Amino acid sequence: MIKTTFKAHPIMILSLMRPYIFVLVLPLVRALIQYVTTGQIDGLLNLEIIAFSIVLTIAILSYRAISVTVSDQYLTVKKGIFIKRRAVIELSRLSSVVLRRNIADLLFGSVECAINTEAGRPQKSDFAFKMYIRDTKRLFAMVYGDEARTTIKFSPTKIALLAATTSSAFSGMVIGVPVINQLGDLLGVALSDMFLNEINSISSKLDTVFPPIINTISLVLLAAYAISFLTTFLKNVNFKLLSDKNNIEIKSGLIVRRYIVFKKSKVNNVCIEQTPLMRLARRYSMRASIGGYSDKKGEKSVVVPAATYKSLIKELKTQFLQYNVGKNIINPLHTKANRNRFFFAPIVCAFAIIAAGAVTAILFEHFKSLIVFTTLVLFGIDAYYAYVCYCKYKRGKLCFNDSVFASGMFGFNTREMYCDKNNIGIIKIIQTPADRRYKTCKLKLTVRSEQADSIRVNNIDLKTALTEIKNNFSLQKTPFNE
Amino acid sequence: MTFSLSKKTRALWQIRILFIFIILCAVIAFFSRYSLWFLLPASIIATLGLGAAFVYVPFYFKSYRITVDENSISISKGIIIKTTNIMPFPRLVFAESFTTPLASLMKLKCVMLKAARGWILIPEIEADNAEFLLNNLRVKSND
Repeated sequence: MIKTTFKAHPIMILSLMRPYIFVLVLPLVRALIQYVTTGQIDGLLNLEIIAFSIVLTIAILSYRAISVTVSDQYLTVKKGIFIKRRAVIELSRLSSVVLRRNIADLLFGSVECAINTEAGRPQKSDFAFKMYIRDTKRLFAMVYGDEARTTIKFSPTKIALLAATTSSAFSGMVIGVPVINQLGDLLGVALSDMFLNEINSISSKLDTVFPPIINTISLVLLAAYAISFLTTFLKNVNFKLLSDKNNIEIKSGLIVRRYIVFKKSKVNNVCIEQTPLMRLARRYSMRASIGGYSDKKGEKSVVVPAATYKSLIKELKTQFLQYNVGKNIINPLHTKANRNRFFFAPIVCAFAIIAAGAVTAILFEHFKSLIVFTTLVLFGIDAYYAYVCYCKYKRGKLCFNDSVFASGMFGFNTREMYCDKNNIGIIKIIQTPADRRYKTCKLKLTVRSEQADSIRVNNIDLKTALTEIKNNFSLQKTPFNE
Repeated sequence: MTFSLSKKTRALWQIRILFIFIILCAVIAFFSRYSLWFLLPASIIATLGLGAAFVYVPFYFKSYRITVDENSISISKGIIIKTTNIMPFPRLVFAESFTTPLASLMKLKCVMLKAARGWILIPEIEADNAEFLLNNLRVKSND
């Protein structure tokens, strides 16, 4: 049995010391600079030097203790100095291996390697360490084989389209606000106030029919959207999909480069999605959900960023042969009465918006224009919600076979989900009073994974759904004992 | 194959528990220079520590039964509330061994079996047995 052992890169010492950088390293550097410039020694310097030496020694010893040994069947990870850990993982049990390379890694010839299995904690890799970039090729060849892989490249235009259609002002705020605050703290400048003042002055110069507050909010949202767009674009630019019979490799990123490899058999489910903005461009994206794949944002990995539906289906059939859609497709009943049931919620919302608008306009006369504007915006959202409900009626599909196919809406996004029958975690059958009257049900499928994908198909025939579930999941009794 | 925990494991945990309780007692007893009332909680903690080390730990570790068969590993434990954890081998994702300096001196190793969304911990067993278990599970999970 050939065994190859990989050691960690020395930059790992810095990674291990990172938690202490603000409490130990930076004060020490500051004290040393102070000593050089003013000739005065801080009273705490001696203590800091001792603590720094201890942390540095522990970091060096920890770095030396890390090793990854790969044989033809197993991967063994050893680490720890006081508490020594040794994990033995079967190669077939690996969910994915993720490489991430930032600018510092680029300079030192290192790369951050994260080894993931299904047993890992959510949002966290099982094992992460820095290794030599030259070792990664050998590691991947041993773990995933060195079969020739076909490469598909995605142009920056497609990536820009993906960024434009999947970015949102909310995610931009989540990314941007902490950065602005921390940068302001570091520079000792109230950056957030400066930004808000600037936005206020710009919005006051704008001559629109909307009240100034709307202009300000719109500008803030636009700025946040721009941040989100830029982040998504930089993260996904240079996107390449490499695949062979068993494995998929994904490379992406401009400043921070990411490299993900996983076995096709380890994919929990595949989703084809379309966001509202993507709908305008008539493009869809395809992503795979892999157990234990952690990238701080979950276990999802984009396989195709943006493409037409036809080419995505072609790609799905090429990459994931295991998903065969059967012929027994269950749809929501296509009757007039059933269609009207789908529009019930948007109609109720429309009446609620009118009532709320009228009441607030009477109570707060001075804010009439703002209330009219808000009511119009809410009407727009409700109109889109009605469209989503129509899509649920028109596109809702469910098919049980060896693999399960479900199509419907998830929030405001269109979603088609493909997964192995054995990967289905929960099947939830919901019956409202109206469902009981029309003998229909709402069926929700949830995939068995840490950050489970789910899809719901509404108002389908109860009897057909129960029979399909009973036949495909080998149940002794039909649910509801019917 | 069924096995229980060795006497060394019991001794290791008795040392650990006594060490923690001695430190706790010492800290509280230190304050007795300000008020003798501090000796009361210190003596209660000392009694609890002795009880935990010489009554609870021996019975608790004696209750451990580890059974490895063709398809699964099961661990039964408990004095008042008895629990049994069963892990089928197909659910096992990977096995991990831990050792602390003291356990290492006593040639003991702790084994953790990880499955998706769960884990089973086998307290310190003989290092050779831990290795055997790790190797055996690796072969089993391959089936």
